[in-house]
Amino acid sequence: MKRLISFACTLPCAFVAAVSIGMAAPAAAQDPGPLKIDITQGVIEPVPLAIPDFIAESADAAEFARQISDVIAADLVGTGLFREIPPSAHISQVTSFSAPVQYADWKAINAQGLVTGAVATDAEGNLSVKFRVFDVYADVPLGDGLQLGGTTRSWRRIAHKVADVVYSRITGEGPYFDSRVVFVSQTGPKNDRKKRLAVMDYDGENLQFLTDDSSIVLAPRFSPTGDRVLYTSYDSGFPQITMLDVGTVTRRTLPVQAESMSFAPRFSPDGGSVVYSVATGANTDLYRMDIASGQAERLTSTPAIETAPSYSPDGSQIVFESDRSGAQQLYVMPASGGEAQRISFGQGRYGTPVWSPRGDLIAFTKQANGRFHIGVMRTDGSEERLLTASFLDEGPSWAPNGRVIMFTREGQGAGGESALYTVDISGRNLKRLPTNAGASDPAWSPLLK
Amino acid sequence: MNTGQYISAAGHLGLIAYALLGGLFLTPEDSQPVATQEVALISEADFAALSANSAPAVVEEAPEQAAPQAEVTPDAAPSTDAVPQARPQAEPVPATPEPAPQTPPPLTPQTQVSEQPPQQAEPEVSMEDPGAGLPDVPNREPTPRPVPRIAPEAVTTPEPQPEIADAPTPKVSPDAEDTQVVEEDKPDAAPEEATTEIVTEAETPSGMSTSPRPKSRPANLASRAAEAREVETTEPAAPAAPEQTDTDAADAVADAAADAASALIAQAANETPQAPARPVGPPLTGGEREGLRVAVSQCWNVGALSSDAMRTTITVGVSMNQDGTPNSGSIKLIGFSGGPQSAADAAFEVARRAILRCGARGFDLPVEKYDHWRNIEMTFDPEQMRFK
Repeated sequence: MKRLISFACTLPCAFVAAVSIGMAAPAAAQDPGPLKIDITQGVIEPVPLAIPDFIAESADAAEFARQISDVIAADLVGTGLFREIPPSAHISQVTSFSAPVQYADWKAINAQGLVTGAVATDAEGNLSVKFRVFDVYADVPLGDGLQLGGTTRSWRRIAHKVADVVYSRITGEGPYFDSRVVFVSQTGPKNDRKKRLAVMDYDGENLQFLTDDSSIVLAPRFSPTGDRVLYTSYDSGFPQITMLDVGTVTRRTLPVQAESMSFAPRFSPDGGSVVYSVATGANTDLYRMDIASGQAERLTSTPAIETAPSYSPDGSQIVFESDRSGAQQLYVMPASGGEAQRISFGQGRYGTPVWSPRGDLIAFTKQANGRFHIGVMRTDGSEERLLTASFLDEGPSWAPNGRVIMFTREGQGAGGESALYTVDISGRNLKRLPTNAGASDPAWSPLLK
Repeated sequence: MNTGQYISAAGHLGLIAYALLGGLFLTPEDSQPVATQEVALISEADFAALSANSAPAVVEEAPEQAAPQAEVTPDAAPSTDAVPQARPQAEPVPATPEPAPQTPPPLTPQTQVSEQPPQQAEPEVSMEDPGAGLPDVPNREPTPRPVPRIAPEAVTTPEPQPEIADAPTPKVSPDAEDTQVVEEDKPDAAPEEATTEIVTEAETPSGMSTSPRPKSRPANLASRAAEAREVETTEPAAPAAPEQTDTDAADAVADAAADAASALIAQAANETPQAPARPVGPPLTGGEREGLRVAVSQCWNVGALSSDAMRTTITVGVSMNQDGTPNSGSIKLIGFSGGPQSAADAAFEVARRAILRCGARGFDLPVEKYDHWRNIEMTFDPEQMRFK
């Protein structure tokens, strides 16, 4: 029946089609041009990556190859932007660094990126790592292959460097894995805390103590080159600013005014001067000191409390907190002092502002409605966003690429422990840094050279 | 002869008299009064309000259908005497510990399901009356469901017959009108997976969230990968010819008619060799464009984009194959704005990945409109996906 109907329709339909085409043919048709569509919504998911174990090109390199692969994967997955496809799911086995990549095998397991590499050691204890990054769906390598060299003792740094390159090539963001963090290590109850200055890799490895626990230390800050640390020390029973050379662990106290408390120091972007707070009586103002000459210059002179200064990356401005309006708020002023402009206007109190290394954002601590927050805002105070909320969050510090913030989170009660946390500036990927003891006052170093 | 005339005259006179006076004697019976119904005009808003009030009645039917279907055993369904056979099979069902937790809770109101737990296990309800059993009182017999009447012979829907209009209507030429048809831009609709706002810990105290994982790994990945490799090494096959149907008489005639028609079409095409390739069929409908847009959106993963790239809008051009797959070598960055070149490059790689991933099996585009989507320009604007 259907066929008959189809047949009945075929002849007239075909005739009509032919006639209509024949009639329309003389008219010149226009090229419709490309179809245009707008994509404004996407998804936010970790990018699946395949990181097969690097190939050991010498017998001694097998263990290094496995460990380096693990560190690279941990770095990338730890950002929250990537997800590692477990090796058990791999179809292709990378047996040679120069072998062509079977893109179809990696597409089949939905890998969007692929990292391959090889590790070799020599008799002198040198380690060399070469690697490549591939965009699986585009069937092309992402950049050229690279080779890094060092001693076997520095294998972790090499692994961080590899992860940095992979991270930057895929995201377009600056690297930050090969960096360190200086912080205050804390032991004991809250009413009898022992505090020591410590430094570690950004992921909590290679912990080293810089001071003993004989005196209280506060608020360490790295120099722009990462070779020195400024902090507030109570060695003399009075808070004073101390500068420590990380390489030699030698210290010297900055010459500040006698009978005054100096604290909250921070290097200028060129590393040649220090901006800090000096409390005299009930008044606290900001000062700047040239490190070489010891010459100090007063930047603010109000009856209010001004503290927590932080330079903009270009060194032209300083953001700080002040209660000149009656409550703690954030202000921006020229680096040489002068009129300050308030940039925070939300409810609650704002403090500890830190200018992003990229210069586009300012991180801060906010206290409102009985809770503490870490937040970011643009440098004019607009687009304020709160990233965290807890009983006590404070002291943000930027990663070298300005994408991640590290801060202190303290638990409630007498036994509440302090710990270091990181969070992406999107508010995602909040996680605790592994430390053996309590930790506070983190300061991220610049990227290591 | 006159007799006939007289008879005829008398008959006509009688007929005229009946026509004039018959109504007096043949008064029709009183007709039944016409039923009237008073109506009132209401506004559209009132009608919407009335419709909204009636919605819960529909919702209440949901558990009636969902719960019993889960109890149906496959072997009992086609049997005509399913009821007596199904009862012993379904008796163990009430003994199962807790069938209720297996039911997805959000779909139906949980209160209704929990109020009638024994009835979910009733085999009669589940087998005989899947649509009306659950809310009934236990002592009440299930009401038989109206059965649609079935004709003894299968009938097909008759072809719509063209209506002949009284006045001729002007012929609409495709190429005269199609290029001027303006599709209204519909507001963008976000797919369910997409997010326009990032909720931070400050807004949700629970803090960290997990990202959805992809589907479980298929068992035959290796074989599929091998097939994919083979496809990559060979040229893409030409579009498959239409399948041959049975060669009975009707098909033979139909094929002959189709051949004749294609000959006419080819002849018409040969007569105008200078005419450029013209679009076949009308432009893409709004739904077809929306389908393509949503398909690409689902693979546009901006999670790993840099902050600069999230401020960069890029336009990507791609040439499409006739099977709906993108030509990977043709994807190129046409333009960008809002960020530096490096950010545009990073954004382009993510966009290219989205096109290739979701287009690997071909976008759902009508092949008869291929000329309309042979070349596509996609503008990726992450403004709504930025940290807010």
